[in-house]
Amino acid sequence: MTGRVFSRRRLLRGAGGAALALPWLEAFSERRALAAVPSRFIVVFRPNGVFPDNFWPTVRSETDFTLNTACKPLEPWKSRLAFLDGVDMPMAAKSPGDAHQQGMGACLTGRKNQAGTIQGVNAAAGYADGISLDQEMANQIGGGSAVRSLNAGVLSDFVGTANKKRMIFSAPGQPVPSQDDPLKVYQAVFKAGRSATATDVATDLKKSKSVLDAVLAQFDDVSRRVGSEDRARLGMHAELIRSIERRLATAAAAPSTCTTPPAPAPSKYTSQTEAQNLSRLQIDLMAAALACGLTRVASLQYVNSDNQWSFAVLPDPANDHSMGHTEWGSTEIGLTRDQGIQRRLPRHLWYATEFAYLLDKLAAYHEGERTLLDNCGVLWMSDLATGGHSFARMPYVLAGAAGGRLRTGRALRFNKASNCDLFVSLLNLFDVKATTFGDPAYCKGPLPGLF
Amino acid sequence: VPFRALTRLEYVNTVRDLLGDTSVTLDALPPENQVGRFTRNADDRNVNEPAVDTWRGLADQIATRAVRDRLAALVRCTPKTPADETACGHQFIATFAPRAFRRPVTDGARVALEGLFDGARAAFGFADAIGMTLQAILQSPYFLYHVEGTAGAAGPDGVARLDGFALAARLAYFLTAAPPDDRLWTAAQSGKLDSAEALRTEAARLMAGDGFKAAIWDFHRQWLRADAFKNLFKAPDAVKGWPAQDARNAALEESLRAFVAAVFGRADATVRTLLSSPALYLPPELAPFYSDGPRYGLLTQPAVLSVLANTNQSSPVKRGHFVLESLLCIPLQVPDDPEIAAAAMKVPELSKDSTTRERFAGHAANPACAPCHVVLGMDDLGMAFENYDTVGRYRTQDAGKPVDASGRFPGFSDPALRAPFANAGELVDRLTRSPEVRACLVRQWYEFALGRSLRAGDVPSIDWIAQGLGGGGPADAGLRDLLQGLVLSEPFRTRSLAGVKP
Repeated sequence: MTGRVFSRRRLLRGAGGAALALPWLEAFSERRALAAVPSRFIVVFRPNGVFPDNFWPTVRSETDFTLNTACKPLEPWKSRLAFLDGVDMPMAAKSPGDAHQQGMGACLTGRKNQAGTIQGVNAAAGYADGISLDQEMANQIGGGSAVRSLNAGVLSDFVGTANKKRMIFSAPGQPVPSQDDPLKVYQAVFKAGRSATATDVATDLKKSKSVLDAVLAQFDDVSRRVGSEDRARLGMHAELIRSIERRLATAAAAPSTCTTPPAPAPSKYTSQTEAQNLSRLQIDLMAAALACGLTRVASLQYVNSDNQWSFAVLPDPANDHSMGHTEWGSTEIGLTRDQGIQRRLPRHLWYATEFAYLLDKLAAYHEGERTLLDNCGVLWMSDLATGGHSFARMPYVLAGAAGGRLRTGRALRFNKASNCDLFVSLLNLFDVKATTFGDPAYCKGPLPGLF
Repeated sequence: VPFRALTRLEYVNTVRDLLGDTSVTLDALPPENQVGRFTRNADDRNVNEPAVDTWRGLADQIATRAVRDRLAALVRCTPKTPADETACGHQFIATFAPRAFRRPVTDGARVALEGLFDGARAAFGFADAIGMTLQAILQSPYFLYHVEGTAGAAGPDGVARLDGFALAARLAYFLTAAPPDDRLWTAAQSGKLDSAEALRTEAARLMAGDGFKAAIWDFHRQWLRADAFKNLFKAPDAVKGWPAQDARNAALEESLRAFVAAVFGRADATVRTLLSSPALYLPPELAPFYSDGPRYGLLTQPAVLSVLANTNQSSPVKRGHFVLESLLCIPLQVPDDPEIAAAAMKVPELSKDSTTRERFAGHAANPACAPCHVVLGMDDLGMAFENYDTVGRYRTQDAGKPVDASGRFPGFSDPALRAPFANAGELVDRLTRSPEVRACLVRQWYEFALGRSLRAGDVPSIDWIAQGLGGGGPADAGLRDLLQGLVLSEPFRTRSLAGVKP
């Protein structure tokens, strides 16, 4: 194994400045020749589902519909949205774990959780048993960019059970955390080479490469001494170091065509009172990175499926997780159902406002005749359909035109479709020739009539 | 058994001990993925790009600080010529890298580091070369993972003895959440740890030191779910006049930390001390709220009772569940039916006219609930703590009626313990005398000490440790004896080499 895996590093080292002549880059060039304007894919997650009665639009026909109360902040963007009603998450109900573990594992992978020992509410599970849609997109369309995928979060690591915090998976059972610290997002995306002048960039790159080569040599050394299980993980670790090495080289080689935004001030990124500020910082950075062509795939994860935060950004802070239950009649925080529905609404509105802000931001960047939003496909989603732990009618909403291929201003109805089917459609939307995604037992093929 | 990675706490403490650098915070490290009950678990095979990138960034920052602030202390030589510099750099690698790796440096790693240093020295100068070498050490698999060596060949079962370095590292990270100190390192080098007596002595020494508190808290923080304090929410009515949420939570967590530290700080503390000590360590701002009523050890600590409660009322379910699952090691599973799972999330409405016992009485009538809540005894175990409300305040009245905290637990193997109990005090007394509780505590510590989930083959070792505890009966089982027993057990001193090519 070592010979094959480590050969690419030797090539990199040997080739020096010609390191860009790697197979992955050639594949990227071919793809770029096909698509004149690069499309970008974005996922925005908020936890614990919606309340159907105030979320789903009133639909008269596919193109004639009225937004519901909880989506009012999106009114200016109505013509750029597609509501996808009737997409279920059927594998989740059969997955190990409690409802939040089930939902979080399946919502971007279309797969069940692995069996495991992470304790949920009266159940236990491991992590999702497959790659998530955004990571598959990154493999397919993100490889040539400086940052394969930008995974930002707002309080995503806030209090909670391990596998209720992770929706992104690079491989079965391999969660990728979202980065809650805007400064770290900034450093990873915009400051790949830290220095200002071309000479300093070259020096920094040379230093980083020497260090990483010495690190890789130690991985080579240890891999020869350990068992197959360890070798597999160490091999994966080494491959990630190589990926970083490539990214640094790409970032240093690519002349920046846009202005790097100023670095955000250090923020209290674990504090829930900062959520509003953090949300805007992350959206700004995300839009700037997409506009600069530094990444093609981005995600933004608000909190997590445990969602124990009390929404301190609102005048009415209270545990949001319990509030979701209350919409379905639970009295655990001493509210009636009607009170619960009324008091959770501002939370739904907050997420819709932040989503509208993202669309504002994307539309403000011009790319030739179009805007960045035109060239993005944005998926707005959740881990559960409702705060009552349902997996039917998942609140999947699309925004943007994905380079002109996605028709919006529509409210579509499907009949018990699976989120796997939606994910196949989205891959197709980005010219990825997939016929199945996620658990094949729940995948019938692309959604009819989506585009 | 795979190697596990350094936990966040272990990383922070290792950098502290190696470089005297205390500016790395837990939050600066990649988030941990919990597998099983504890983060120090080899079954967590996750590694991802953000984590690798974070380790890279930290290595850069730590090395920059080290070279800027303490280069002379780090390299301990003042080179004057290029030849001096090379010798000095190689000497740095020869002395520093083994401590960073907690074991002798392999030829392959040494060649890589010396090669890096030589090239960097020629291109960028001595100080940068030291910094870059330090970066490569801090990103090395030998630093980031617990790479363990064995002494001699594996037996027919595929199990081999750990070498002295691996044993010293296991011992140090288990009992101090930090790398071996100088004395332990010397013992490892001299092969002294091969003897059980030396191992016992070193364990006792570490348990008497400062690092022990950090390790003990790392265990209890996870076992007692104290991370919930980052944002434990209570209904405003329940905490009227209390310090605000963050201050309240910090104070409660601190009181639990102080309790655990005090119990384990006593060399003669037993399982009974942990489970029934009347002590409370409350900061002044909380003390007035907890002045009433008796306390019976860990389970009646305000912090534990607050976590194991609903936002506006006590929770016999959460409390009973904790006793069953975490003190008696009885695994529980909700029926697969999603409707039942959803029903299980609902808490009966709080009312001024009904007691907790009345509100949860529906469990007995519902055949989906009764097997665990009634027959297995979960609700009775939780009701025993009904004298303590949602924030663990003592009360004798609930909804205007006297609190009924009585019950029985039929799961004790000892028939004498199965008789009805009147309140938390009587239940706790039984728990301290139950062999099941002792065995369960051993299981939890075993998982923590070995840094992996339990396997079928572990049962004999767990039994061996449990049986070796204390001379005066289970209630007197010494907590330090338990940890000593773990350290001396075969699994702690060996490693399975199945799957490793020679």
